[in-house]
Amino acid sequence: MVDYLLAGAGDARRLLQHGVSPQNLGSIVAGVVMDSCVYVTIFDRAELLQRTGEDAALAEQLIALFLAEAPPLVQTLQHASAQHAFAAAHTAAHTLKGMAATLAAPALRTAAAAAEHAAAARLELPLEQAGEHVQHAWVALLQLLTATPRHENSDRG
Amino acid sequence: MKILIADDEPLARTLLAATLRAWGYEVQTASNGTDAWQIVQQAAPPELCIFDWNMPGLDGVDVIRKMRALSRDKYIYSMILTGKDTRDDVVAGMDAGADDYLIKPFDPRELRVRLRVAERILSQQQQLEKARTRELVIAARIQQTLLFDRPMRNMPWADVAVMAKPAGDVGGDFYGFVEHSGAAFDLTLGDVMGKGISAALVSAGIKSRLLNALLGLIAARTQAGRPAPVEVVAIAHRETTSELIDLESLITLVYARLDQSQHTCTYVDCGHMPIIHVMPRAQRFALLKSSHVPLGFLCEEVYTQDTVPYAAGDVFVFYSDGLTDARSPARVPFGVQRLAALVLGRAADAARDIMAAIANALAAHCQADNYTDDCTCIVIRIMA
Repeated sequence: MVDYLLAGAGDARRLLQHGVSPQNLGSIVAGVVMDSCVYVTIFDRAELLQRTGEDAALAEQLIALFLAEAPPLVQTLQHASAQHAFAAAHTAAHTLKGMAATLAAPALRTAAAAAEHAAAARLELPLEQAGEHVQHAWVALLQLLTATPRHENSDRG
Repeated sequence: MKILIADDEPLARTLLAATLRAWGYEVQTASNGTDAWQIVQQAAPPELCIFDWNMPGLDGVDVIRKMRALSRDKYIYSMILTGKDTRDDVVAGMDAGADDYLIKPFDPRELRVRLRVAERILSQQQQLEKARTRELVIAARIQQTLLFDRPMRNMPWADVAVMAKPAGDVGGDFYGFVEHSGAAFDLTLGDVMGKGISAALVSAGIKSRLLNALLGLIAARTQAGRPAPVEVVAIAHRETTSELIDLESLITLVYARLDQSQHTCTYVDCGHMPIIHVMPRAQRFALLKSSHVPLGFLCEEVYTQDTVPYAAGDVFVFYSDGLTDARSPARVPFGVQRLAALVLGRAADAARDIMAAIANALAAHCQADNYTDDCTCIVIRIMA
């Protein structure tokens, strides 16, 4: 179920500041991610829990692993996209896409897939744009994952 | 069941490993294809592998191709779990030898049913393997009892020792002895092309034909005396060569008769290895050989026999090419000359001691006790 439509990553932070729990942000979508205004979920906690067999501890372990592994990939992709370094961009985008998919973070997954595709096709402008989308999706996701304790079970608002 | 997961992406690897462990599987992980390939080659490899496609070094499809090229008895079931989701990707992955293909991120319910399919297939594979092993054990036992006769015990003038080392569970070599009334016996040693159950069946067939030919000739005989070895071989040749040609099989064979009343060895050589005749008194050996082709090669072949005299103390060695062709680590064959020289040096020993010396020299030469071809040898030392 779609609960909130966001115009940008900052909205996620504001919602969290207003007491919306990460659990209820599980179906938040971010329109800013795609130029085509296709709304994409940032992070689907329910989906992640389903994948882990409702094992909350494993879900937390995956989130922690993601937060440790993803930043250098995002950084590499940003740099490679700007420099039109297609091979490096492709590798980073592919790995990031897989990690986002596993984490149930469709916005980042979609943006990384676009970057991967642009890098494979050696398209400079689409790669730059996809790189920016990855950055937006990453910031939004990061805020969701780090702004509040992730083990909350109810909406404080 | 032991499952290997190879994925360079840590989240997917962690999630998959945790999921499989929760379902009771034993899980091993690798973060790249090169490490996965090393694990697959181990003595106790996993029964099932789940590979990501894109990985540093060897990718998942590379590893599966190498696995399929690797000849091993135990089948390893392989799945690709990848983000590559086009129809062409699926076709390419399965075409490389994968048994199954899943798209990331995996759905636990779908993965579980796919694993059940894998377990069913592996279970059937194991049952087939067990049945095959059981049959091989039975075939090996049959070979030991039907294809390798015990030497005669009523010939005190001939000290006989035998050695048979099949290269696999079942080989294609055979030998037999037939004792005649009076001081003589016939000996056959054959080597069927190939190994395994099919070779053993052909061996049993030809051995039976030779015995039937001999018994038929004896029964039909109106005058005293034994049928000549060449007559026995001629009948077996007539009755089997066209069948062997149909079966695309060949047999090298030597049929010999040692006759103590004449002190002669009469033999028919059907493309077999030369008989080694060691004469210690003269401190020399001779290689007894004809120029005939193996049985099953040419219907028009006319086999002939040759006769050589022997004296007390002489030693005859009959053997298959698996013995003399056995290679050292430097690929040097054991060789006929080496074998003959060894027996000449030990000719004063009992037959079993000569055979032990041959077995030891062969093992030392090959630096192993498992050979690539059947090694069969008969040593006969003339006592009087």
